[in-house]
Amino acid sequence: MSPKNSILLVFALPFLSLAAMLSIAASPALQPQENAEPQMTFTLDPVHCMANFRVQHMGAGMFWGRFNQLSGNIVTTKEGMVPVSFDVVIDVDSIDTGTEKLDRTLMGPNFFDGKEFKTITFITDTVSPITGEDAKWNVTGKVTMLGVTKPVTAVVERTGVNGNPVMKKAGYEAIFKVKRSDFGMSWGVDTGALGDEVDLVVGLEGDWSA
Amino acid sequence: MFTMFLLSFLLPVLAGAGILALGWLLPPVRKIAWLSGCAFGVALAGGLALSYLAESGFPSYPPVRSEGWIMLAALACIPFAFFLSFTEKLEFPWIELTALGTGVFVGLLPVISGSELVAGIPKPLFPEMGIVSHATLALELAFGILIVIRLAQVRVGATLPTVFAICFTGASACSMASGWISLSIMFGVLAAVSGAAALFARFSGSPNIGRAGAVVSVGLLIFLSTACWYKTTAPSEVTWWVWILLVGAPVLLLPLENRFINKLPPAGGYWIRVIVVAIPVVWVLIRIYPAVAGEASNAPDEMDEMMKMYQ
Repeated sequence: MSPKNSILLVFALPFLSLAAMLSIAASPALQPQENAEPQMTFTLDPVHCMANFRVQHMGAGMFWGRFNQLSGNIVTTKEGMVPVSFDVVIDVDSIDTGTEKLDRTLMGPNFFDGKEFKTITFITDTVSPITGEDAKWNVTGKVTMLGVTKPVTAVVERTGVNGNPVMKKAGYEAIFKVKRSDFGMSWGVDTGALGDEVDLVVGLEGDWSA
Repeated sequence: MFTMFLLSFLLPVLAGAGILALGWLLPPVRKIAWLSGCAFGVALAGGLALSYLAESGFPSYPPVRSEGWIMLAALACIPFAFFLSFTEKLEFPWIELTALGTGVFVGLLPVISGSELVAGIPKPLFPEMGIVSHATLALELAFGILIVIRLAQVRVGATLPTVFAICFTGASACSMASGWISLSIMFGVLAAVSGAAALFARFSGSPNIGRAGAVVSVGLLIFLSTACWYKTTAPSEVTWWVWILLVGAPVLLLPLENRFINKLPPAGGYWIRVIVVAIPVVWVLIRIYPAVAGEASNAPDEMDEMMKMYQ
């Protein structure tokens, strides 16, 4: 490089750098988005969360069971009023039907296989409001159970949001159905000993603090 | 409910009994030593495979869910039984090598099968089994097979099938108490096929369960019991030593192979041996009865206690 070109480059460099910085600052990605809602993440409170399930036994009665240990979080906007995502992990060994013998059977390899698959997880894909309802959403996501992942759609209702600027609680309830045979839990389906379709009602309560 | 009983229990038992009838009762087949020698082992393995198929379908290889090893073990037992039948005449060190080889092979199955890696080591045969548990299973299989092959050489007739029918029945009850319905049915199939063998032995001139029958029966008893222990949440009544009592009960036949009992009439010796083996199994059945019947179901759980605090 000739001395003349070098002098030109030395003078030009500060101007080129300034132009580059201005163009980056002006790009839409780095502009503060006026429309973006501030998000608030609620951590699930295991004491007040519960996943209840209902299934038909022997083609006759409906029996209920529940999982008592849930963890995860709810991401929301509008200070807990509008959900953005739900990530929930259920501990299989917290199953509770009120009968120890039935708990053991459901924890066993014919059903939830709790020694081998310790958790059931739900991860959100989309959340869309239900027309005409101000506190209900259709939530699609993926449930992983027994090592199998399947898409599900739940109707989620906001049951309440309470608190102050320092601490808040948000409550949501999800209702959906799954076919247990889709996850490889097929025992008793063909013979009618236990229904294939399982109704789920999941009560969620999350805590947020500033 | 009847369909489940038919497919999971009755048909596998009939298939197993049919194989035994062919091998032990049909005169032309009975004369072929290697065929009659493997009948008991093939009948047990075939019955188990059919029952598993009806209960859980066919597993992948290596199995995604660890109970799939049961089906694969049952299927592997069939050609192995034929192989063992051909080696019936071979003595030291063939018996020792068979026992040790089977134990080591089963203990190393996760490595041999190329099972998926969890934290850098192959996924265990059954959940929460460490390296020590695999080594223990290998040793149990090696010693169990060694002892039962030796017993089968001296004890022909209905004694060993009856003993295994008793042990499989006890294991079936323990599986039911632990909440594994399918395994309970599979142990039930093994018990019924062993019972059929005991019955047929009375009418077929004291057949020998053979090396194949010895390896398959004790191998499945140990392997399936291990599966149940690691795969289920056992109630307080079903402790590890309850399983040891069930699985180890056939070993009680060893001290009974003495000249005093051998001098007794065949029926007397048979009943003494059966009763001695049945004592620990019956004791186990009495102990675990509350868990099978679900009588301990009303104990308050943590949630109920917590709710009481708020009342």
